[in-house]
Amino acid sequence: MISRHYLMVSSSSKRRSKSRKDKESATDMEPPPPKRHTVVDVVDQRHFFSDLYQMEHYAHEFYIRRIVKPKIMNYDSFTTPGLYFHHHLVFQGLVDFVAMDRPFYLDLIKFLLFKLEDLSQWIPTK
Amino acid sequence: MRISANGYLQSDVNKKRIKLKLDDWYNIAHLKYEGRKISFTDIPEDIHFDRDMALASMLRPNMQGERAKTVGSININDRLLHYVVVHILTPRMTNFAKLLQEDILMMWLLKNNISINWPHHIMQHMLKCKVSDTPLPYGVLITQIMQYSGVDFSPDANTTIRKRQHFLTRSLKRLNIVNVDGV
Repeated sequence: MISRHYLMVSSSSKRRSKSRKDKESATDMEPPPPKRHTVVDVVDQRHFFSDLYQMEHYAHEFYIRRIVKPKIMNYDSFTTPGLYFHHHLVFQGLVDFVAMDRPFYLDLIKFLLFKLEDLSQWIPTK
Repeated sequence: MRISANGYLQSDVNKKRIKLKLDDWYNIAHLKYEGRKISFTDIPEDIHFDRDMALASMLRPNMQGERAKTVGSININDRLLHYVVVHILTPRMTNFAKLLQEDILMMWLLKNNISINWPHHIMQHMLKCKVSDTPLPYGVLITQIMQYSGVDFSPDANTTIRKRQHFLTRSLKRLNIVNVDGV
């Protein structure tokens, strides 16, 4: 029995272990680790910015800001008798402004207002 | 973008320089840089604005003496004027039904034909939205500014204004305003 036991042990020890060559090939087959995207990759606004620091600041602070959906007033539609609120807009010279119909650009709105600064003391130079 | 106390605006977008002078506002949006520069935090005494009297003049007869906080309490023309104020002139994303103090002032100015410096008002509202972390306004106007300044925005995706964003008489139904006997 004892010799048989030793034989079993001996038998298991003879199991073929992976050679170094096999291990190397297994490592080669592993998929590469996922690339970690930077803010710059996700928010690619390079055509706006020449400064990387400013672009990262924009991405963190401003990119997630929401936009108010613009409304357009159809001025001619309000000719119904009894309605006169729109006459106040005529006096203020707002008729064209309230009726402006253009596409809008979400990134441009954010970008313009991102760079908006309160420079109440700023003196323009000619 | 930079805004000076005297209304100049300077920026660069898509690496294109933008310089707007006072006269440019007329070319962009047919707005003249003239009129009173009035904000809720700085109401000139000479216009004699009385908030309670202003609100009372807007209330429907059956709401007189009540504490009005929403647009449901005011008459139809003032309600539609309020709609234009909160959606187009001083756009915001929420609280459309509320009568804010600023709304009452703006409506009172409009109704009393006090000429307002709209370019100044617009720029101040842009600045306020930026620093108060609220949704950003004036998308269409910003497109106009870009176009006027020759910015190439062809690489950028745009959004067109849907029919639902148009304010016309058909919109009145959504405001629960109905036409009775042609009025």
